[in-house]
Amino acid sequence: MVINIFRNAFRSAMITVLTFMSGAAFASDADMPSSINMPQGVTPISHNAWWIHMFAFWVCVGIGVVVFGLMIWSIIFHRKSAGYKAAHFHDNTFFEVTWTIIPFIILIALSIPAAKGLVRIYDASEPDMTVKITGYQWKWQYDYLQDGFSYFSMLAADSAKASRLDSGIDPASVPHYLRDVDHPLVVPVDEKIRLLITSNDVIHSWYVPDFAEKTDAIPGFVNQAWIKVEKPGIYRGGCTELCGRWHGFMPIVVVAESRDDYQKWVAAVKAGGGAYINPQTLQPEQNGSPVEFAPAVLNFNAPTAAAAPVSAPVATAAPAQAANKPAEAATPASSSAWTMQIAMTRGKQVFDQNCAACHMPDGKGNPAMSVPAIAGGPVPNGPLAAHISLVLQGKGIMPAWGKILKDDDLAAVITYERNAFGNHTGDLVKPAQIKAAR
Amino acid sequence: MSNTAVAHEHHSEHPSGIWRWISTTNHKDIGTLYLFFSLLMFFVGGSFAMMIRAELFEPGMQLVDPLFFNELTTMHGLIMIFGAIMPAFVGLANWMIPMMIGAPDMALPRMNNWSFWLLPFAFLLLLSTTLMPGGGPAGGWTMYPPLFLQTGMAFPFVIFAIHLMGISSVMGAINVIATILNLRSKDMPLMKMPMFVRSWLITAYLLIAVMPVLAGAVTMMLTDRYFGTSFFNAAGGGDPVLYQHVFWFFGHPEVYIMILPAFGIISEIIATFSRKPLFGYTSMVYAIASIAFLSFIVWAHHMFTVGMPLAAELFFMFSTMLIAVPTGVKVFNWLATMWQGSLTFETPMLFAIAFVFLFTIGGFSGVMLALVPADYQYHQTYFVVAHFHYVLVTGAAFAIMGAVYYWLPKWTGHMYNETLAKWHFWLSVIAVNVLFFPMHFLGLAGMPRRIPDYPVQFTDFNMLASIGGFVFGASQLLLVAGVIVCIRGGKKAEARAWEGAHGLEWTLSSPPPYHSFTEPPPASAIWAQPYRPE
Amino acid sequence: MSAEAHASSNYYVPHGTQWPIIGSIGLFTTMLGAATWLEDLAFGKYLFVLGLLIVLFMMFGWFGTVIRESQGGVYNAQVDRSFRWGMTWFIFSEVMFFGAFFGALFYARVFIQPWLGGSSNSLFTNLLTWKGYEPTWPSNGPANVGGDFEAMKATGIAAINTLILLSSGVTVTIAHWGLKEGNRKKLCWFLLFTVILGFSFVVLQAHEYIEAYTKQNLTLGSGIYGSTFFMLTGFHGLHVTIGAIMLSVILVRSLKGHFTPDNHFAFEAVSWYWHFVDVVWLGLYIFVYWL
Ligand code: HEA
Ligand code: HEA
Ligand code: CUA
Ligand SMILES: [Cu+2]
Repeated sequence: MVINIFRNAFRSAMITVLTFMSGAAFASDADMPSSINMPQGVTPISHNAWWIHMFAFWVCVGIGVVVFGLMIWSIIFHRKSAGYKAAHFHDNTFFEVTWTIIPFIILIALSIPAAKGLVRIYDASEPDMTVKITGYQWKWQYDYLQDGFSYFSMLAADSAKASRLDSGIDPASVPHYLRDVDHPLVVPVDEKIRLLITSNDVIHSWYVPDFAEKTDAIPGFVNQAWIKVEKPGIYRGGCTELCGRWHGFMPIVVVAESRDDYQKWVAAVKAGGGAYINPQTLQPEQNGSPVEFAPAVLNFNAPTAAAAPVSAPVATAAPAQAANKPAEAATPASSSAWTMQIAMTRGKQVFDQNCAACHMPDGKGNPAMSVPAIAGGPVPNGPLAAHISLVLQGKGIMPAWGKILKDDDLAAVITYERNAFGNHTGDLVKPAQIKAAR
Repeated sequence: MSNTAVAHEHHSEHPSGIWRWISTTNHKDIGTLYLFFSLLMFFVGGSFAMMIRAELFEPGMQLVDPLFFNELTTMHGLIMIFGAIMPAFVGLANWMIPMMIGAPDMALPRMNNWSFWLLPFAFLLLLSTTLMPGGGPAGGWTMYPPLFLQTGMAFPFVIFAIHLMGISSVMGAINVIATILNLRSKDMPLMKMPMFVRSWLITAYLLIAVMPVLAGAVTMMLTDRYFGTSFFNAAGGGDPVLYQHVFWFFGHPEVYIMILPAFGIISEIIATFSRKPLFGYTSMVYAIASIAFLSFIVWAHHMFTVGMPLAAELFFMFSTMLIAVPTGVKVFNWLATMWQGSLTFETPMLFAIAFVFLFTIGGFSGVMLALVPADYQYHQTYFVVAHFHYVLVTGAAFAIMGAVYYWLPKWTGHMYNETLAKWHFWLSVIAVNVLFFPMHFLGLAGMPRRIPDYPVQFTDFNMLASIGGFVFGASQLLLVAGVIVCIRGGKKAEARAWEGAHGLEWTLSSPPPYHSFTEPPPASAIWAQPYRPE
Repeated sequence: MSAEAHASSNYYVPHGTQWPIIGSIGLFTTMLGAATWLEDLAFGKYLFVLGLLIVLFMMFGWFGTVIRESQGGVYNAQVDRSFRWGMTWFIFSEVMFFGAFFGALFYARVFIQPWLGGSSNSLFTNLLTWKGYEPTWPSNGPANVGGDFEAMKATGIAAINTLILLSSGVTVTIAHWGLKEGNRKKLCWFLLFTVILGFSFVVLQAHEYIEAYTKQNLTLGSGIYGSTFFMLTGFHGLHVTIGAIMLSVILVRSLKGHFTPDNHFAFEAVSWYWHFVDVVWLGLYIFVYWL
């Protein structure tokens, strides 16, 4: 143990010295990430960030050498013990002006490239494609707006298992511990990809070091960013805005592929009928929530979306929590005939967006958080009234959904829970029943 | 100004025991209360930090639940800032300012007592939340909504605790300003005040200006949760980012509130142990003033990634970088003060020197953070954590420790134990760098803040940091030992405890009389201070 | 707490006081009560009231002591200056508190609305989340939170209240002149007018609020407009109430003849406070009701 620590310490120290003597950063290979300096990354932005970082770093080293040098000098030579008698000057306009001007000039030198780089970052116009990224507690949703499909991406099961308190599993034995997901985002290389980043609940932040791409996901607002990945590979990052209990456990994995590999993948997904397609093997996977299909929205390739047709005005009936629901979910409360089929589809949507984070998309629950399973669970297969009141009131870490969701959403999701994941109660819960139970 | 002799009952009357401390209106008693309170909070906040470091010692969850970890982080931040650093500075102000300007006491002694006695209640309220259903606050010390709105029962308690702290700080600041402007000896013009007093004058102004704004921010959050307002909810035409703007309008000046008094202290100490006048007094004053001014127009540098318009990003980047200039002036002035001085290295001086080194390093990382394209990489990573611990721990906290050793002889009438103190210094200064320097690398390699568990490639530096943390923490026990020993006894301290010391406080006996200056000091005593330029 | 009554040339430093600790306990109880109340625990509201009572008790005691000392002549000009600095900076802190809410209003109108409408770099906010939302003011947001409402008008009660406050500013000044001339009658009468004006402002605003809730469907919950309107005018109204109460106290003290032409800090403190409340209202009238 102790030895091990000192070995690590020593290694770190060596790495430190070496890197900073050479001033070079490690080539950032996603599988062996730079462990000490900012990655140069694989996008124009990340190269720029790295360059500015190193420039600023060396400037500071320079100033440091002067400042600390002078200080050490007087510490050594102007000691009383060395019999040095104190001078008595206490002002010198020339010097005071100089050391006001010079830093100022240095700062200007620093700010020019920074400003240039910033302008570049802000130019998300004329992208080749657009992906909408939505943060949830605690997972990401990737929405391929033009291709009209979307899926959720959450922490890989083995990492989740190992990260459980006293799981007894050595994290080092888990591949890409906490940096692995069930459904990675897949993008083509050499294309300018516009990211539309927003959130469904609290603020998250989408961060991939190799892209120097970090943008906050603000509920109710959609931020723009863009990436242009230069070389194929797997790039890993994570959420960087505190978003609650599992903030440290919502990683990001991006698979960058050549254009035609990417096209193959898209085709496969569209053919896959709801199954997520592994970008490397192009085989369907059953390890998480299914892919959802929706008619492609707006043509985002238009330089400005001014040309874009503006669709139906917002449902004014949406409740105050509307900020916590993306518009597509804000269907008017007074929906038509309440059939099992409508309830189930709607229920699944609500479940994936609100419940799956803890109860897992497969309804198996999450022992790591001591979250009970829906599949075969006592409550969804027990008396209906108890089930409804539990969902309305909440319990322990389970929120009181009554405060958060509308009657029909609740009716739908409870129906879904009682008839999905191998539960077959056959109950069809009506919004009226919820209203009554409130 | 009329003279400042005091009227009061006879000393024999003043109460003893606990009631003395509860009812006191004496600036020294209250200063002492503040200082001990802050020490206590430093330990509480530090213990939270120790738990953080223990959990982060290696990957995997070993000790705490992730939510509780977030509580630790939040409480640690809140307590260290509002409980440890700020009260310490107010305590020093209470003790020293009247003595430094030739006053009998603070201007508003009763209110002075109230400013202090609000604090224990405020922190009682805050700490009690950790025991409540749903746990304590876990949204980070910045308390961003909507996340913070998910807090359990603790929510209103935290907000009211912050209101109490705010009231306390504002009253304390008002008192300081009134004292400096009104009780200053008539022979001491503003531009001849000791640098510590000068820096506190400006700090107090900052406090009064921003504390109410924080109160406003948390109040909006309160009404959003309980009274259906929509300040931070887009659906109702609000914006979660609005909170961040209001918070950081308070938050950035707040960080200078925690460093300006430190600048004052360092100026006093370095001049003393260089046996040389403080270099460039006037430019020092203008530097502090311009830092204070700039601190109001840089706040959004904490929010570069929220998606502000380009123009705003540029403005806040430039204004932020500007602050390096006046701060640089101070650093260079300190160098020039040491230059060709005849230096000795008693513990206060050691802390001062460490301050100049390490604060400057923290400042450098600050300037790097200000460069937006690079901040897209640094933001919310351990690089930021490294930055602010360099300016807060080796900045603010070191300055406070230096001040304690510097003035202990004056307070207690005894010299502290130099060997003990030196041990405390060297252990601290080495450990603190082992603790915080590796965090730069962690941040650059992309380790986010506020996470209880991390990918394995971050293990080495986290172990290193944790070890440094434990050593640093443990060595703080030496500080306590040193203080206790010094209070108990030790070599008798003269009025002018340090050979090179100047300033009115050193013309008083050690320990000073109960009422610092019952008669205003003679003009000669003030103009005799060689370290103030004619 | 008895003090030597003669030393009027000396800076008075009291020895020991119990009021601050009582005040702390009071505030603590109040806030504990408020918090538990908000988290709807039964005893909350009682604690809250109890706390307020304690605070009230503290104020009487504390101010009482100070007044007695002042009448006892232990304060000299310098002590008086300390009080003035204290009051000045206290008012400044109040200004900053209101600043926070004015800032929120400004931000909501100048930035949030256009952004929800898709301007600047939040084009897609409008295209994806709040489809086709048109920025407006007054607004309760894209989700029409709280339902349609009728906004406040610059005419009507608001205008009357403006007149009331402005004239009350005049009357209090005249009262001050009276005080300086040593004209008790003038002082008391105009102070009385001021008090009356102050309270009538409060009454009218209460009426305005009732109208808003009952007839205009304008509530705290009416999106950002409701939030900013009620928080700003609400806190201001609270300050007017406090100010009016302080004026009443001053009135009583004037009747008792506590003030002399050259020593009447309490009076000036209150009038400063009143002018501050006045100025804030002008800001409100312009930015909340009018523009
Ligand atoms: C005492 C507290 C303190 C002080 C003094 C500072 C000082 C500075 N800080 Fe720091 N800062 C914090 C406390 C402090 N900070 C805290 C607590 C946070 C995190 C809050 C949170 O998110 O929780 C933070 C975060 C923070 C950020 C946000 C990072 C992020 O979240 O992405 C930024 C960005 O610009 C920043 C910048 C600066 C700058 C430019 C200075 C400057 O004042 C530094 C100036 C000093 C020098 C530059 C060194 C001396 C100068 C010279 C030797 C002259 C020559 C030098 C040059 C020309 C470069 N700080
Ligand atoms: C203001 C001053 C201040 C001070 C002095 C400190 C001091 C320390 N901080 Fe600080 N810290 C902050 C302000 C401060 N911090 C803030 C504002 C944040 C941000 C919070 C947020 O993200 O919201 C933060 C966040 C923060 C983090 C990041 C947490 C996260 O992002 O999840 C970490 C992690 O290591 C950390 C560590 C430490 C350590 C080890 C110390 C040490 O210096 C502490 C040393 C002191 C002691 C240890 C106490 C005294 C000794 C004892 C109690 C004896 C017993 C101990 C032993 C025997 C070992 N702090
Ligand atoms: Cu999502 Cu942190
Ligand atoms: Cu800042």
